[in-house]
Amino acid sequence: MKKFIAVFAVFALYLCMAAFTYKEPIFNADNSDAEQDLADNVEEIVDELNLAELEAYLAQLNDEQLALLGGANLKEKIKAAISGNLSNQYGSFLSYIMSSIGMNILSCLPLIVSVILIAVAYNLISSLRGNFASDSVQNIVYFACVSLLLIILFTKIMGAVSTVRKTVESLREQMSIMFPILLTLMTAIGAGSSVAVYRPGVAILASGIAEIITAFILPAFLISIVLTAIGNLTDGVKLNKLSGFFSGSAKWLLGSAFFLFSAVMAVQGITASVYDGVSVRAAKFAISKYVPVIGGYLSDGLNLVISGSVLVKNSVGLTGIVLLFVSVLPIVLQLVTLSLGLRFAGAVIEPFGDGRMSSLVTDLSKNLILLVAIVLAIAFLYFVFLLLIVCTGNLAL
Amino acid sequence: MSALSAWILSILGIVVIGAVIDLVLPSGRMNKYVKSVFAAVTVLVIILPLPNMLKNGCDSENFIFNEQIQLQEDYLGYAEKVKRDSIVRGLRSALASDGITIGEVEIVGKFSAAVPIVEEVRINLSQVVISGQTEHINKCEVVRSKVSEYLSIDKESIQIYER
Repeated sequence: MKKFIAVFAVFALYLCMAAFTYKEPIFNADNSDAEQDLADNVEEIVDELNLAELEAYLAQLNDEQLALLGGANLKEKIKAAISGNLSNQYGSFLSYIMSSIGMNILSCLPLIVSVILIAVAYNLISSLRGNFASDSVQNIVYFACVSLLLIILFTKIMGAVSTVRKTVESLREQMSIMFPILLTLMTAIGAGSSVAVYRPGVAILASGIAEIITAFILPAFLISIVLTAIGNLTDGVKLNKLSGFFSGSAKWLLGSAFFLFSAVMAVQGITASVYDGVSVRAAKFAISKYVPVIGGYLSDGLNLVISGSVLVKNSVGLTGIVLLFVSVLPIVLQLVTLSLGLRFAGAVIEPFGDGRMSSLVTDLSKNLILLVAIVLAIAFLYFVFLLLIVCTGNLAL
Repeated sequence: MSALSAWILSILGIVVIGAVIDLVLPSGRMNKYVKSVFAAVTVLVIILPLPNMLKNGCDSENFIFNEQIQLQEDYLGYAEKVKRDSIVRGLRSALASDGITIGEVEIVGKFSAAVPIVEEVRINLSQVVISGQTEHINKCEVVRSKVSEYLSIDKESIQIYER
């Protein structure tokens, strides 16, 4: 809890800084020529920029996701966003979320029903046995029922782990496509200090954090759920504490990496962006005031590159944020639905049987929260990075 | 990952064997001893592979910095060209106000920074026209001093050639 408070404190600090550095746009009565110049400039910048990789990535998305992004033609979308024609996608977003929840509940229903049916069957067999069979027979029946339950649950959980692994890989691919474009635009703006801070940060996020997740946290999760299952399989061997150790280690590792990385990058990013903004502004002022005649031309040239690049950077960053939500939201909803579904099944089967089956299902559902935390952590880090980059350089305008 | 799977499978195997033995053994004093021995074996199966698994850890060099962020050099070249062209345009305009028309101009410098730094200027003198000048003048010197004044650079950094 303390970690989360600290992270949100850093985030709030960043938002405060962004609010202080935000400059109210000044609208002139007749700026049609300037707007036309800017539109031409932006068009030129978008044509010069290599967006082929990003467009190829967008082409892999399904129709529903593309509709949320406003189509696959990225260049048109950027031009539309810059000219102020941002389409209102809130309705589509809500219907996308609702349809995702509905689909996930439907896909979880067979699992919940199977768990409840197995528990009811075990309860019926135990009740019918009466005094005719021994405790050993009772144990064999329990062993068979729990094995069946585990096969069903593990098929679903392994599917969820594979989905998380694919999501982490997909986010990694998104980062490796998105950040070179954004950092190039930042370099063109003159935000050299920020690029120097973000470049290693992006490399650590795209390789280090993703590697920590796939190499340590996911295996620790797998060990933890296997030990939870084994611990609940028989009374002879108790492995719940070992399972708790692995689960706790994974949580600590994820939490520490998340907190350290977000705190360091947010503080360094804010400092560097303010420094860049002030230095570019000072440079523009110095050029236009102290270099005779040519200063005006050079200042115009700088404005052309800076304003156009900032607009394109913000628009590409916005596309990145929407793309992040579109790819992460269904996975988070799927995992949360699965976890809650299992918890519900555990609650329903508690009155049946001896409680061991219920605790097994509930423990597994608790472990699943770690998968949600993994996806949310990497998505949040990526989001903070995108937000920092989108806000950097705007001060130079 | 294979070592991890083997470890989990060995734990699962020993627990399943334990469950089967528990079912088969008759209840009594013997059962208690077998259970104790079995618990010790389970602990050994859990602990023994751990040192080897920790020894085969990951290589920190490949781990953190195996992702390289390459900037788009073409776009940066375009941004530098825009800045360079604006300086050339400004120089032409400033010289035109003094009645000097220049042809081929090449500007060398650092254009990636927020404030471009001009290091060298190369001007083709054969294309230079100075209008409204009746007296004999050193064309080369006039152009050099004007360019030096407008770009705030040393006269030595201005190369004037004829082709």
